[in-house]
Formats: sequence, structure tokens, C-alpha cells
Amino acid sequence: MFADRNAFLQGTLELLILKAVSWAPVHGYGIARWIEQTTDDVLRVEDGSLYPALYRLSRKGWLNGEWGVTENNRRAKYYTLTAAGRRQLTEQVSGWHRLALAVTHAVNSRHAPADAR
Amino acid sequence: MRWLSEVRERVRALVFRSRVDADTEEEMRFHVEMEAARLQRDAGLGPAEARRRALLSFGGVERHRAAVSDARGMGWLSGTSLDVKLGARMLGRYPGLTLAGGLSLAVAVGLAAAWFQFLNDMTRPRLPLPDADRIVVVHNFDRATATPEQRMLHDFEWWRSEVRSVEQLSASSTSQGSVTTEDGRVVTLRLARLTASAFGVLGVSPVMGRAFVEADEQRGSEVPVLLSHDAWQQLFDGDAGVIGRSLRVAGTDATVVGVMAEGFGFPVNQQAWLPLRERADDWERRTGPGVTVFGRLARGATVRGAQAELTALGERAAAAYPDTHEHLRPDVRPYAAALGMHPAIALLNVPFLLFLVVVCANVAALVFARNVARSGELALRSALGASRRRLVLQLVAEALVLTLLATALGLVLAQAAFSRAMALFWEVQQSAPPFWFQGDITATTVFYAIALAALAALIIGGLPALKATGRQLRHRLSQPGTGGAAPRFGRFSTAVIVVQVALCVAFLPAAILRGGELMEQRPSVAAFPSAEYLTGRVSLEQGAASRAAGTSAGAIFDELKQRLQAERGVLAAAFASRMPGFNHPVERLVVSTDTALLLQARVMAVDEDFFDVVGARVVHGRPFVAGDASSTVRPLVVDEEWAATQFAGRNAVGQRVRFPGRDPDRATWYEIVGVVAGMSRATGPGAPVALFEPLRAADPSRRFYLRTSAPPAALAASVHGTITALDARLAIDDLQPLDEAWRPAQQGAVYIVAGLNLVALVILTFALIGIYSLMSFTVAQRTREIAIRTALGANPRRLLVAIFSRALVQIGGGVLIGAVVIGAAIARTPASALLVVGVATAMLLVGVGGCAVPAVRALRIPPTAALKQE
Repeated sequence: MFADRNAFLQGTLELLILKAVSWAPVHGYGIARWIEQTTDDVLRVEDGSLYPALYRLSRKGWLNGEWGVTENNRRAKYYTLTAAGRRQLTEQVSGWHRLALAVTHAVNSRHAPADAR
Repeated sequence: MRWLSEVRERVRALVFRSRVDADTEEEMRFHVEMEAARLQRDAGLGPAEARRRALLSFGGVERHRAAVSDARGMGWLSGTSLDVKLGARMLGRYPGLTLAGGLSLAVAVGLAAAWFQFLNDMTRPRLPLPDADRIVVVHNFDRATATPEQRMLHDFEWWRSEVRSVEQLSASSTSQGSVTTEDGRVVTLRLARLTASAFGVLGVSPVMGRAFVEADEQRGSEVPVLLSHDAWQQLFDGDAGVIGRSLRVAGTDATVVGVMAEGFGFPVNQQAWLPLRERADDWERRTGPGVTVFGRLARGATVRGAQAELTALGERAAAAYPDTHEHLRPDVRPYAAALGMHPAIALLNVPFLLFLVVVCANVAALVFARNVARSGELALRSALGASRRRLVLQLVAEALVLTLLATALGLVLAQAAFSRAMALFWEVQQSAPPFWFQGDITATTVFYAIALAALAALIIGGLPALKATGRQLRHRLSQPGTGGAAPRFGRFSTAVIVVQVALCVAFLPAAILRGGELMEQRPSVAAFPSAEYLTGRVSLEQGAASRAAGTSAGAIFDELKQRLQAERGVLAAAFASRMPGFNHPVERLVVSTDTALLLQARVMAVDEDFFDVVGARVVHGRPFVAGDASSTVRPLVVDEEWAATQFAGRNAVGQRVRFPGRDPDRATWYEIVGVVAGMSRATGPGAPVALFEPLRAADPSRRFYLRTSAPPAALAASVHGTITALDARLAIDDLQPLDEAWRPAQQGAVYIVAGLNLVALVILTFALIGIYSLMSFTVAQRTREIAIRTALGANPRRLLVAIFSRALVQIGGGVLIGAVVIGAAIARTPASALLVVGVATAMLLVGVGGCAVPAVRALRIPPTAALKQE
């Protein structure tokens, strides 16, 4: 459950949302399901916590939310990536790769710290 | 532009708050319903169970909704509304602070707002005319004497044919005139003569009838007259069939052709309008009646462009007519700007702002004491995670509740007082308000007052909050029960008390003395038998005056005086330039013995009978005699008191003076021929007049003074009849007993004194409350210490001496500083020194009282009880 890894999710949730909406407009529920499926339930969002993040990103001007209609004829708010949001996504993805690589290097390392007794 | 989209989002969230809340609600509901549907479909759950699980996985709806509100940048709003609620509750919990602070703030804000409104009306008049900012006025300015030259009929006619940047160039002149109705009623109206084009410039037309047309300016044709709404009501009782009715206006038969809209009084406060029929051909250059020239800027033209064009014309005129026009230059400016006073007088708002700041400082001291009492609560909030910024904001918001309430009350007071004060102002000025004057508190002033409320909240809430939320705050929580850890405000309170006492000592006696001086002028008025005089203004209608210049105008007034003296019930008659004591022009002058020293004095022109009629005595030299006005000696008579101070014992008679403002060549000397005593009584409630000069025969407008044997009011009708019977061109105005003419100015003085005393009282009362609470608070903080020291055997008397000596030092320091600040002024009279001692004693008593109550209580408490207190 992701709620247990709260601090970790806080940093990555924005990145995941930006990625989720990078293809086509999608509503909040769709984003939650996409995160759940693509991360094989490892990063499971407590669904409600998605919405503050969505509003935060909208306020920053990275997302644009507009009301539309689903296939079942239900009213839903669809989010799209703005130009600023796309730039932000590119930045955050490359940042994530650098971080992940660095951490991987560190945990796979065979060398002890120089000052170790 | 991320900040821009963020601002937009925030504004949207704020403005459409309820809609955005509904959107969030719907979005979350959609989420839960979709998840429930999936669980029904994929896991085969029943609807109720599916919904329960969907809600569970969504998490707390309320919590997420609050988080969304925070994310939208709305968190502060709910925080602020909480602060506001808390602020409102605080008002009730500390009623003393609310009442004393709120009332004094209301007085301070109300005064500042009313004064701001007054200055705004004076500096930035707004003409209620369409496109008023395109209307300009053209003055002819004499650069040699630095005065405007209004006798410009020649220039006007020339400009009218030449100037392109100003359209429909028009002229106006104003005067007073007697108006007689068909049924024989006579009233005096303020008249204006206008060219027909003026109505095009002003963009107004009559509500009934027609405006002037060019043919109306031709001599010989029937004279049309337009009436103001008020004059129409007054003369014809609002009769709708007024058009075509006859009136005799300033000695001429006229026909009413129209009635203007209510509130129209161009150029100032006029009540009837005639066509301007003066022609330049009748006059030499720079002679004839004065006119004001105005017009509307042509399409695309600017004031600057018009100025350039008229400057060029002015230079051509100077070259063509050097005798008259060498120093004349036209000056173009927006009409409203020409009406307003210099914008720099807005600086006069500063004293009122300072007064507000002083009041705020007082309230801040009390708020600080309250914060100390609340330090436990503040420490707890801080420990629970509230940042310092958050706490300061909370305290400022609380203060804002108080200052906004006080501002609302202040504005209500200002609105109530302002229209009455303005009515009184125009009465004292002996004129009617200009037509653009509203006499109301406007939206600009309301915004100004709200800004003042915000400033006051920053001072009242902010400064004590910064102190109360300092480093000691956490310390307070970490050491409960040790006492003394509450934010000490020994040094702070000392500073506040010293400043408070110093301000009161420095300014209150000065204000009270000023009030006293104003009041002192009343007995001198009472000593003058003003109830035995009838006064009024009589003017020879302006065009007639110009043509009858010199001997014939003089002859009319000479004849008038003889007839008035012969009137039954009149003992004596005299003429003067103005009502003694009112609005006398202040002139600069130098005395021949010390030309480096520039003096200022009020000057008034009087005829040879004036001193006799008002019962003043010439104590040295001689009074005015017939022929003085045209004498080459240019005689002056000076007031005895003024002469005593200016000539320091030397004989004033024979001294020569010069008026730099009158003759730039510095060649014209005037000689003092007499010294008059007792005139200060006869100048009424106004400022005393120092210099008297002979009234010129050609002066077209003058005041008469009639000493009567019967009650003067009873003579008014027959005097009016005598004047109009002599010459129909004579207009009478302000015909009333002298004591009635003086009454508004006397009342004005009384109101000013009352106002000053009210302000002084507010400051003093609040200062006393402030000192009492600070003293009592600082001593109350030491309750525990005092009780323990008593228990340990300390001598109670020595403890008390220590406490009181501190109060004495604080108040004594303030008195000393205040006395030094105002030193020169208080040393002047024993009365003022006594006042300072009085104020200082009051503060000392209150300060000692403030110490005594908690100190004595502390001495009585058993140490065990004192220890429990924490």
C-alpha cells in the first residue's frame, strides 16, 4: 500500500500524474487506475490524496482541467498537460533517472566507505 | 508567467469559491462511483459493499477536501476567517480595551477622513460637467507684479479669432445684482454674464427654455436672463410658466428665457445669468471690466499645445503694445486645476496621520499587555506547530477587526459632522458653496479610511505581536511554573509610558491654550455693542462701475451716505472695504527704518467717518479726512496694539511703509498719520486688522456700517428701499444686524475650540487609561516576587518605595522630555506652565494609582497563595 510510503510518494506523485496525462486528457479516477496498474500495485495511491496534487499542479499552471463527458455519459473533469507542464515533465523525468541511477549505483556498490574501520 | 496563472487561479478560486467547491465535490463523487462500479463488476460485490470499499480506498473525504482547499491556495481564507472570528470574540472578552481603543481610533480615523475629504475637495475639484477635463481657462498673467490681469476684453476678442487649439473661446464676469420681480419683491442674486458660446463649452443646456444665442450679445436687443433652479424657486415659486416673464436685473429690464438644472452655478455659485455685452471697442487696452476667459480644447489638442499657441500670441501682443502688454503672458490650464488649491496642501493631512499614529501607539501598548496575558495560549499554539508568521497574522487580523469597526464608526461620525462643518465653513466665509462642491464623504475617502484601518491594525496588532511571539515564547512553555518567563515588557512599557507622557505634556497644553486664545476673543466682541449696528454690502453693478469710474461712482456713494445718515433711526453711517474682522487680505510690508524686515499685516480700507461710527479713538496724529484717498502722501492709520509691538515705544506717526506686493518698483511709500485705539473690539471675532487706508472713491463695492437708535433689524427694509431708490444699479447683499453677521464666525470659533478640546480630551483620557493599565500590569507581573520577598522578611515600605520610584522615574522622564520639546512655548506664560504641571500631576497620580492597587494586593497575599498562582 502506497500510503505506507507516504514520503516517497509525495515526491513522485506529481511526476506520475504529469506522465499519466502526457498522452491524452484523462480524469482523476483514470489517473489513479493508471498509476495502480503500471506500478503493479506497488505504488498504490490512497485515491483521495490524488486530488490535492491535481489542484496544486493546476495552480502551478502545469495542468489544465476541463469538464467533459465519459463514454457512459457521465460528467467528469479531464486533465491535460500544458506546455509548461510538458517542460516540467521532461525535467522531472531526467531528474528521476539521475536519482534512480545514483541510488542503484550506491546500493550495488562493492566498495566500503574509505573511513570505515 | 507562472505567477500570473497562479494569481488567476487564486482569484478564480476566491471569486467563484462556492462553484469551485461544488466542482471538487462532484469530481470526488465521480471517483467513488466509478470505483464502486468497478468493484461490482470485477469483484462481484453488492452495491452497498462496493460503495463502502470504494469510500475506504478513497480515504477521508473531508480531509482530502480540506487538502484540496489548501492546494488551491484557499487555506489562508479559512484561517483568516477563523482569525476574524477570534478577533470578534476578543472584542467581547476585553471590553475596556475595545471601548477605549475603539472610540479613540474612531475619533482619530473620523477626523483624518473628514480632513482628507475637505482637502480633496479643495485641491481636486471635480466639475459635474461632461468631459470637464477638456475645459481650459486662459489667464493673462502680469510677470512684473506676479498677478493675473483680468481686464482683457481686447485680448479675448483677438484670441477668439486667432486661437485654433481652444474651441468656442468664451468669457464670463460675475457680480452681485438686485433683482426685482413683477410684484415688487427685491432680492440680491449672484450674477454671471456669459458669452453665448459658454453653454457649448460647458456642455449644458437649460432644463426649461433656451440657452443664450449670439444675437443675445447684441446691445439694444431685449435682455434675456437665465435662472438657477434655486432662483426660480425663490422668485417664481417654481412656476412652470416662468419663460417670458419679466424681471428687473441690476437696473435693466430682462426677460426670463430659461431655467438651469438644479446644482448648476457656473462659474462658482451664481444664481442668474445674463449675456455678456461688453465690447473691447469701448475700452482702452488693460481697462474696462475684468473677465475670465475659458474654452474647450479642440479635438487632438493638448493643454501644452494650447499654451504654446497662446504664448506665441502673447509675445506678438507684447511687441505690438509694449505700453500695456510688455509683461503680460497668457497662461492656459485645465479649468478644474485652476479652481483647486495647490496640491501641496495635501501635506496638511500629515498632522492627522500623526495623531492617528499616536492613538495607535496607545492602543498597541494595551494590546501588548493583553498579549502577555495570553502568552500561554500563544506558546501552546506555537508548540502545536503554528509558525511565527501565522501567529503574527492572527494578531494583526484580530486588530483589524477592531480598527475596521472603529473606522466604520469614524466614517459615520465624519459623514454626520462633515456636511454640518462645511455648511458652517461657507457661512463663516460668508459665501455659498461652489456648484461642484458636494459636502459628502466620497468613495475615495472611504478607501483612504480603510487604508488607515489597515495601517492602524499593523501598528496595533503587528508591533506587539512581533514582541509577543519572539524567542521567549517557547521558553515560556518549557519552563512552566517558574514565573517571570512571560515576555517581560519592562523596557518596552517604560518607553511607551515615557513617550506617552512626553507627547501629552508637549502638545496638550499647546492645544488647550490655542483653544483658550480663541475663546478669549469673545469678551472683546461682547464689549462691542454690535447689536446696535446694521451692516450690508452695496455694489455698483460692474459694467456700470467701470464706466462710471472715478468721480461719478464716488458721487453715487457720497449721495448714498448722505441719504443713509438722514434715514430715520440711523445715528451715523460709514463705509469700509469689508466687514471688519473677516477675510481681510494679509499684505506684506516693510518699514522705512528697517527695510530688511518683511512684516505681515491685515489691511482694510475705511472712509473718514468709520472710526467715529464704531467708537474707536485716534490717540496719536489725526484720523482720515476728506481728500486723503487721492492725497500724494498716501496716509495710513495703524492700530495701537500693532504699533506698540512693531515700533517698540517709538512714535508710529510719521513712519513710512511700503507694500512690495503692490509696487514692484519699490518707489511708493505710505505715511502713518494716526494711531487708533479700540479697533480690535470693532473687528469682531476675526483676526485683528493692523493697518487702515482711505477708501477710494472709485471702489465699486463696499460695506456700510449704520449705528442705529432702534433695533437694526427693523430698519433693514427701509434702508434697502433707500438704496435701490437712489440708483437701480446698486446691489445690496448681506443686509443684517452686525451681531448676526458675526454669529457664524463666533460659532465657528466655538466649534474649533470644542473640536480641539475633544481631541485633547481623547488623547489625555486614553493616555491615562494606558498609563494606568501598563503600570498596574507591570506591578501585577511581580505579584509572586513581592509576596515571596515579604515572606522572607523584606520591609513592605521599602518594596513600595522601590515600585513607586520606578513609576516616578518613568513619568518624570516623560514630563522632562515633553517640557524640553515644547520648552519655549510653555515658558511664555504662567498659565501654560500651570497647565503642564496639571497634566503631569494627573499622569503621576494615575500612574501611582496604577501601581498602588496591585502592589497593595501583592503585599496582602500569603506567599503560599502567591506560589500557587503560577
